[in-house]
Amino acid sequence: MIKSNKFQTTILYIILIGLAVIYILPIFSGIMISFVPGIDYLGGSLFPKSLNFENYVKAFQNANVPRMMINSTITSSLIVTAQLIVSSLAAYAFVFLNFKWKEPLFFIFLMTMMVPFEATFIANFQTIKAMHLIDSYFGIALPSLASAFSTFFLRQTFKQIPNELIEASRVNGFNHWRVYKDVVMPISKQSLITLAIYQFLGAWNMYLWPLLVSTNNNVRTVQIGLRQIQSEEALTEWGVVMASAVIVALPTLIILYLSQKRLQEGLAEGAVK
Amino acid sequence: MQNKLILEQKQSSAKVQTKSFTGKDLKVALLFLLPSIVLFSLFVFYPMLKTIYTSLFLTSTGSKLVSFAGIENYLIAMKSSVFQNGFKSTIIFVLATVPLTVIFGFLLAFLTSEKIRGMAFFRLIFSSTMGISVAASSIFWQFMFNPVNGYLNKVMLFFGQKPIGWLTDPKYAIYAVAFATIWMNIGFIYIIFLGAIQSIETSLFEAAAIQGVKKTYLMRKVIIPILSPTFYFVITVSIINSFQAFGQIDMLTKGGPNNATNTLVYQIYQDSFINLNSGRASAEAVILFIIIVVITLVQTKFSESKVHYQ
Amino acid sequence: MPSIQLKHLSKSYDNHEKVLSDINLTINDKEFFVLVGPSGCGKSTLLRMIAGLETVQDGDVYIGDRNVSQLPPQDHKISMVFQSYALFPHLSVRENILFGLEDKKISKIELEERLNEAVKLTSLEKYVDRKPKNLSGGQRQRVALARAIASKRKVCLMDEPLSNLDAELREKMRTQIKELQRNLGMTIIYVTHDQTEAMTMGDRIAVLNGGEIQQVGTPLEVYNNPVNQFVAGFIGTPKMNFLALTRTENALISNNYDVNIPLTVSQATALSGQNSVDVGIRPEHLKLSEVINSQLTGTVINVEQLGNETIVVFDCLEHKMIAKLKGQQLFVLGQKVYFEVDLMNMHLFEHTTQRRILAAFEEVSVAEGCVG
Repeated sequence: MIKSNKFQTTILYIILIGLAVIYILPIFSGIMISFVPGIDYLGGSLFPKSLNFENYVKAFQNANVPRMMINSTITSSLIVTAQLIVSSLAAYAFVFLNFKWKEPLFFIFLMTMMVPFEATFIANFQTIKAMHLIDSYFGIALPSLASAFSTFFLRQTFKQIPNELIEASRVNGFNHWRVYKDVVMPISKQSLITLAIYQFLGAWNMYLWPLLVSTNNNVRTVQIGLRQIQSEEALTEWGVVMASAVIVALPTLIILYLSQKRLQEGLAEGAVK
Repeated sequence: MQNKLILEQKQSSAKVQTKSFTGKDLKVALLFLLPSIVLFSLFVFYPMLKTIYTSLFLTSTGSKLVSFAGIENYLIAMKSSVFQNGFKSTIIFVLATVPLTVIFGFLLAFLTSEKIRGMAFFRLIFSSTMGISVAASSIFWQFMFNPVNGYLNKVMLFFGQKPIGWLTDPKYAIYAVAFATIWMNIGFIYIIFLGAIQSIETSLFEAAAIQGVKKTYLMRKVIIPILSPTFYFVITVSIINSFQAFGQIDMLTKGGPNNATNTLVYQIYQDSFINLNSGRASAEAVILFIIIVVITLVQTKFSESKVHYQ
Repeated sequence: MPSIQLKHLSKSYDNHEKVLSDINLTINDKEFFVLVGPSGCGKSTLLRMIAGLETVQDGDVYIGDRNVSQLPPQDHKISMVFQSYALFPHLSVRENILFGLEDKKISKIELEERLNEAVKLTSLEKYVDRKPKNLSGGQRQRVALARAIASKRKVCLMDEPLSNLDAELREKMRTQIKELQRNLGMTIIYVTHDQTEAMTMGDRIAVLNGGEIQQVGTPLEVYNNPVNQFVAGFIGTPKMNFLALTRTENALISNNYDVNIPLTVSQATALSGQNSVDVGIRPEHLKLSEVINSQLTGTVINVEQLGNETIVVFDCLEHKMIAKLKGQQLFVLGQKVYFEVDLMNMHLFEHTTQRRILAAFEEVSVAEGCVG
């Protein structure tokens, strides 16, 4: 972008440092408290005297955090994998196949984006209950397996694949399933990864639905776990609550840091244009 | 002219092709679309219709339909002061979060779009809230708002002000939750804007630099107009997200104090899963649906007429 | 008065790869100066350093008498035409031309005058209210030019401004830009990879390769007296032919005697002590010979008939050589051909360093110098 002179650059740095400090204050205060032992906190100290992992140990031992991390990983992976397959199949049809009612059907897909989750969760809860899937990974994942956003995103990606490539593969005797599996999907690998990361962040952070359909620790995700820890311990053991929050935030933060550039390029391409 | 003719010819031949392949492709297409159609039918359309249907009945606590009630659930909901206040809170919440999230997200992206040393670090910082879940964020903020030990009141004390019960005072609670929400949502908005600014052709910025325009002129005359599609996208997404905010309210205030943060979505949750009144909850859900449809339609209209597409 | 001076400019990227090394140039006022070289030679980087778009690490850039090396682009007081034209897609032609000017303390009347002058000079009068997407490539290019004109800056930098146009339009625009430059008294630094553009447009040209200036001079100086094999091969089309030969007392020969070129006295003197020599002969300096086993013997590989001239590609010492012959000449593929070399126009290069030993055409350039 525009190059500024040295004076402007210095001002910019000062502004950015100021903003960054304010911005990370909530995380900073949380991390500080997570290292303050319970007794010290009750004594009024907000900063650790030394690097003390007592709260982290407690979070791991008492609060069931590891189990819930595994639960979240399983449900999120389930959602992302299924969603990529389901959405890419649909996107393939919308881009590379000619059929009647293509336009109206795509419009219906887009319509699902307008239906708020809150308008469906009562009935969905009853459906999942009727399927005996309460307290199961599938129960948590099932309503999120199809996604209009993912379909739309992949449609934008597939559109950029030259049609000649598809035609050449068809001429070589590939059926649509093979074109999908051996041509379109490998070519779109980068976009699929971007989408997978984005949807993983979303799935990992799901809150309301897992709250409704998971009632025990065997399947409960970390977000619901945090809610439980918060309601049980917030008054007495702030340190443990904070340590749990930090542990829960860490995997997604790492994923974000590793893929920030990819996300900013991929989302600008796929979501807006 | 010639090109146009060729194009038209191509189109017409494509049409012919389309027709002859229609029957064959339709079967394949349905197979490819089947998983999505089944899932959407089961978990979006069926429940949506069921919600509309249920909203027209009085229900028992076991979600059994008791008797047809027409629009009575809607009337009861809309007349109740809890709903009215909740509606007001929702609007305040949306108005407090959306503009600031979008403006800050954009400004941070603008400030960090320059390619200079250390920018990667700032970009990581400003995008970081996208990587922190609503639940974890709420815990961080709950502590920030802590009346005794939270940083906010420490700052208030430092400036000689009285401490404030951010989450316990009905006057402040909705704004406190809104403030935390802005923080939670900025990361995503920031990333979208940063990507969009970076996708603008660099030579445009260079041409502006050579001409020596001020940054404000550049922003007003170049960046904002070129990013108008991004702005519309981001604003719509933010409005819809704000209407649907749930986790932070559940974690920070549970709709309180004194219903001050009992937004539409939280009421739907409470009415269906705590008060066990599915009829009323469904009516409220339909109202939310209508609001979101209207916003989306207005946005589409606007973006069609006003937005510059490259 | 020199308009722009570059002193000891060097640049390397972060990975220490050298992009430019020790560039020294003086560009005169109202001069059309062309930087030409193959892609990756550093010419665009050099131009962007003059514009202030790339940081100057070592050395100095003077515009007029000001050292602008460390100043931001706007303080370089130049205008620039980009390869992509850099037109703002959401602004009309008028707004594009006046971009940034409305922000300065310039009266409305003057803005209007500048706009009118710029659109008149570029024949864009009819298009002022259009958006770039409704213009053809050539029109867009002219809007970029008009913007440079309206800025009223003395120095204009152009980065491959014609490379996105088709051949016919490119030829037309060459003359137009040259005329504009003359009439408005602009100083232009023009970057291109196209040696024809450099030859036809430049008052002087600088040939760059590998981040170093190879040669600076008028187009004819560079064409007639290339200082090394790179310049000799880069300037001129079809390319100059090169042959590695062995020197005898007063001739240059190949081992199999397919080549046997006698030396003039001055050439022989210049070559004293050299045993292997690279000879450069431009295609137009080869003449068909009726004599069998003349100075150059080869086998015809390909013939291109252009009507007014004939391009013969022939194999000589397992080199593809090209001869450009006047008129229409008929050949059979595989036929033996014999050529005579225009000895006065033969270029001699050191085999190891590829540098010029003796300039051809020395007499002509001296004569030119006297006239100029």
